Amino acid sequence: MKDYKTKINELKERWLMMAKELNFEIITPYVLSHNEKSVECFAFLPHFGSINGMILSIVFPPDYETSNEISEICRNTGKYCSFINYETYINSNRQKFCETLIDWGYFGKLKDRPSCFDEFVVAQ
Amino acid sequence: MAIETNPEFSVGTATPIPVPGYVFIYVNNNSSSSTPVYFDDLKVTQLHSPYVAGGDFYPFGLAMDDRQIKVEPYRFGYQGQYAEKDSLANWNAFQLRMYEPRFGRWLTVDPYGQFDSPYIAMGNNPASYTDPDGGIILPEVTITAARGVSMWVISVANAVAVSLQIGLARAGGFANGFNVGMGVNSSLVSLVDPNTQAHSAQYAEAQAAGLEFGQAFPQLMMMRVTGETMTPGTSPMFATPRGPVTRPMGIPITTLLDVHGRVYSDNPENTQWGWTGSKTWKDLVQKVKGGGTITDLNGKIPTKTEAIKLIEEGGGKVDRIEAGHADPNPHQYNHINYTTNTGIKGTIKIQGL
Repeated sequence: MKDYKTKINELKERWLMMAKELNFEIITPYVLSHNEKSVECFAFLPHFGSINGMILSIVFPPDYETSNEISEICRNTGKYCSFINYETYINSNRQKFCETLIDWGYFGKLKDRPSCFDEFVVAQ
Repeated sequence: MAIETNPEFSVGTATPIPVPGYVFIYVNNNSSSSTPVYFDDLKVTQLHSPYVAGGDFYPFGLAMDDRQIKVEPYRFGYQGQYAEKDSLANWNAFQLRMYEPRFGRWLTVDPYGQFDSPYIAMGNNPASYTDPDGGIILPEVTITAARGVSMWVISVANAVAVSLQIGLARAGGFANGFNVGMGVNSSLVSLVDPNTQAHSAQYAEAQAAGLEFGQAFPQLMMMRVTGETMTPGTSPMFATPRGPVTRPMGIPITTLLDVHGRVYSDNPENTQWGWTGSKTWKDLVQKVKGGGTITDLNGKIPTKTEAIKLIEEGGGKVDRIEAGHADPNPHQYNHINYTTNTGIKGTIKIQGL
């Protein structure tokens, strides 16, 4: 049985690998701060989700417990926030990552947009 | 190690539940030994009650709270037409007059002027008389010591097996509790005379269903029957999860009855749509299983927990839990992205993260 830290590290490696492959920027881990409050998050994607970027946080079954603190700071700082399921993304392939990025939307410079945006059409 | 059970209940045999309320079931290791004890395969089965409608009334017809079974709608009750509510005043509408059971008084004057006071009901003596339409009172010939009235309606499927319990449970019934199945007037169903009374259609319906009738008592209630087939003893309605069970479970019996006693779920939870495991819940699971964008389920927005349960019961997997997207993404509300067991993508709107 893997512990929490091991799982987070594995997922971090997975995201870093996909960031390199799909050519997008990711900062992991990331400390989110607002009004003297700060909380460590799984990652920050500066060019997705909103013009201020987005925060990634991890949830685990069966409870899928989300952090109100992260949601609140994101709301106050104009960042988008997504709680991703560890079990889904630890096993996801390139296509799944591309679909996820497309769903979040790209808000960076057009010339730097990952090429996968031209490859897939999101069904959902 | 000895296994102790509550003497009122027993393991492996059916335990009658005489009153509506809650069932608390638990397994507890009271042994002083340090050896771990494992409980496995604890199963609790509730057999379907044959009654689909019924209730207890005070002598003047006021329905007793928490002593009503309303699995199926049934318009006839106290004295035959009671329980038909006027849509505007919410009063009890009889054929000729409105009736107020809390006071035991009619709300308009007696068209026949039978008593000095034109408002008194059943001649102020509901134990001896009935007044089924608000007109002339009729003598209650069979009951002389009634303190309350109970009425029960059971399914046709069970009618043969428990025919002696069909009909009306009367005097003494409510004094001893809910009295499921108790019927003083237990010979056969007694109904109004089909040739002279207004209930001939219902009489024909009951007769066609194979019920026999005894002497016609106009004061007795009309019996409604249902064609639904239920098999007593083979319809489990609740089972605990397999494995050690130590948590108590509280299940309101009346809630279970409301869903026809067919709740069958490994881990039942009460939701906005009733208990998980009910037909409504299973229909929602099927809907979620279809994927696509779901903004409400039967007009209600699920909580995060409800949505996850629906997704997982359908074999799907949660991908992400998110707040509303920015334009142009259409999902500009709290939602869960998921993938069904067949690989279809879906999004469910949820109340909050």
